[in-house]
Amino acid sequence: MSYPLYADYAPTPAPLTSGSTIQSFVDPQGDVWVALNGVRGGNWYRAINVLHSRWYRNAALTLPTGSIQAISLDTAASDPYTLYNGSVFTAPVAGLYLCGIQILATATASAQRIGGYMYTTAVAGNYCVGAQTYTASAAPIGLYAAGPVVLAAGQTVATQAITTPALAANTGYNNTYAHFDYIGTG
Amino acid sequence: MAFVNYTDYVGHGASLGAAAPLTPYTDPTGEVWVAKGGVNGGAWKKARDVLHCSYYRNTAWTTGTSSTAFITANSGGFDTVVSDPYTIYTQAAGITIPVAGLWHFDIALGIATATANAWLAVSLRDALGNFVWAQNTIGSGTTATGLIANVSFSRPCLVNDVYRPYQSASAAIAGGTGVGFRISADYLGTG
Repeated sequence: MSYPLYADYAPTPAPLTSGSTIQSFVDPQGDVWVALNGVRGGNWYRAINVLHSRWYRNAALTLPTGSIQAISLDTAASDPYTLYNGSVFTAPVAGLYLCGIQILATATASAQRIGGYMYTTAVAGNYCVGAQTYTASAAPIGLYAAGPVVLAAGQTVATQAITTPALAANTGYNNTYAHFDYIGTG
Repeated sequence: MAFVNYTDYVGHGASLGAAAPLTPYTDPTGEVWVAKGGVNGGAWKKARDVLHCSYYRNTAWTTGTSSTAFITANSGGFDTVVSDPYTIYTQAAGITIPVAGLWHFDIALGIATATANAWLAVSLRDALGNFVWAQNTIGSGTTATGLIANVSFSRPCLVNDVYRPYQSASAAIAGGTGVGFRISADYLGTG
């Protein structure tokens, strides 16, 4: 790869002052930049620095039973570009995203099922991240599952769970949460 | 946002020839670049963008009852590539780290339907068989059902470090197949 000489090596466009969707720009060195009107003055930032989203469950939540279903994480710990809407993450730009989910609950007996998953439109009919286990006793139990997912712009990842029987999630920042992190073009 | 003017601050030189091995280069700003003959035309790419691999298990397999490396030699391994342009993973050898730095690893293995009291253990170990991370899942004491164990962590690595997935279960049980049963390694930065 050869490079011309640059006087402005990352000639990003002007800050955004209109529109409501994230815009992206690839500089001559291959770095992806993003900007959104109304976020940080519409200025351009490297995607790898700012496309990160972490949400957790704050309100009481009874986890679904019977089948794997969507769960809502209702509080943003950090999500300046609002990539997650409470149940679904949408990739703003194509790339590789590290997606993780943690589910904590307090079992009421042994042999109770708990599973946490992420489903994506990028892989038809399949979850992309998941873990499932059973309780040994009436005690706190949890799981964490994560993995990188290649997403095109606009593709989604949904947070889902199942417990048998229905169990109350342990709520709070460090208990039941999900994260989505852009880690490169892939 | 104002930028300093640079004059060819990257300076990694021309693309590599077809037979060149994976070669790293650190530019004056500290950014790590890599190139390899035959991959992306031998062009230099930022390591954080391209040093990623992902595979899953497609063909049927059966768990072992003692902890063994999940690689070709044990009828295991992740046999279907999702993406691995720089061949970081092989089914025969596992993961070989091409560039020192902070790496993130994920493994997910499962069993479709197990007897009551079944369990599944998954780990990632170094070339000497030492644990670097592990997770056990336990089955229902009363119900035959599936389990999925997920190993996910980051750690600093050295070039040519080797990591292999291991598995064992309470019995020989049909292992899970499909994109959810996978391994990945991702370079995150210099650490």
